[in-house]
Amino acid sequence: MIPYTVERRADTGVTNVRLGIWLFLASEVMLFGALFSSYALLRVSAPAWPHGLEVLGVWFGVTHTIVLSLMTALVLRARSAPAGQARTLLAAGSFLAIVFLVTKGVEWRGEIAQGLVPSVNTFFAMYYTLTGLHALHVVCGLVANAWAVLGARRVGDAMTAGRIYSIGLYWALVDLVWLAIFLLFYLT
Amino acid sequence: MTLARRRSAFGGFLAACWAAASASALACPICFRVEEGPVTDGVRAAVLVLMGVTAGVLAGFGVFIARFVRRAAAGDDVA
Repeated sequence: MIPYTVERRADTGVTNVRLGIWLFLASEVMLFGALFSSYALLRVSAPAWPHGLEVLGVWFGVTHTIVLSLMTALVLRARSAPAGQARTLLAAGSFLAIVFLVTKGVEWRGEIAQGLVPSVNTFFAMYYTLTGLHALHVVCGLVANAWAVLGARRVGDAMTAGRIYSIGLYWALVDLVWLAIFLLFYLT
Repeated sequence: MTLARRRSAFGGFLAACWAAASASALACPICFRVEEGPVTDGVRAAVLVLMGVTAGVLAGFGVFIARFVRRAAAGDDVA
């Protein structure tokens, strides 16, 4: 078993779980940072750039933003809730994440049916790359939620609290990335 | 090898590199800002975004390291 998953390490002052999740989030920020940098390169150098308000369904974007923000709020709330309630909140958050994926799938299906595929222009190439990678993160978050809820009985409340803390931070990052995508692709 | 000798050897190595280097440095036109245009502007914007992200992450690490230094200075349960 990995040590210091529940109690703090004397030298770092934090548990290994907290240290690990912050390092992981730093790597995630660099990953999305590189993609947003590519977006800046393509957008600024493009002779013409479509307006998201005209080519994308802005109401889909608004719906995704509301659903994902609610989901993140539930998971963050779970961090300070008693063990049983925390698992319920996490399960409710997972349901909202599934709603996000379903509505995103409906949106993609409509766009592809209109012929708006990645090969149309660099706008759609970046749009599908970023929203696809983001959706993959939502799927991974769902797996993490299930892991925390289903493994709660086996590992106990203290370790589950650490897992929920980490998952909350992860969802906050996923939500922030979505807000950036919404702003850059749907509103400008 | 003493420290003074190591420094001399390193200085000699740098001098040899300088002597062997080409008289003119070559850079691609975009990096060298010879060609002003949309691609140059795009590269500049991309570099700025990536530098901003990197600076943010490094600042986070800086805060974390400062926290360690404070803990060590205070003698807080440091193993």
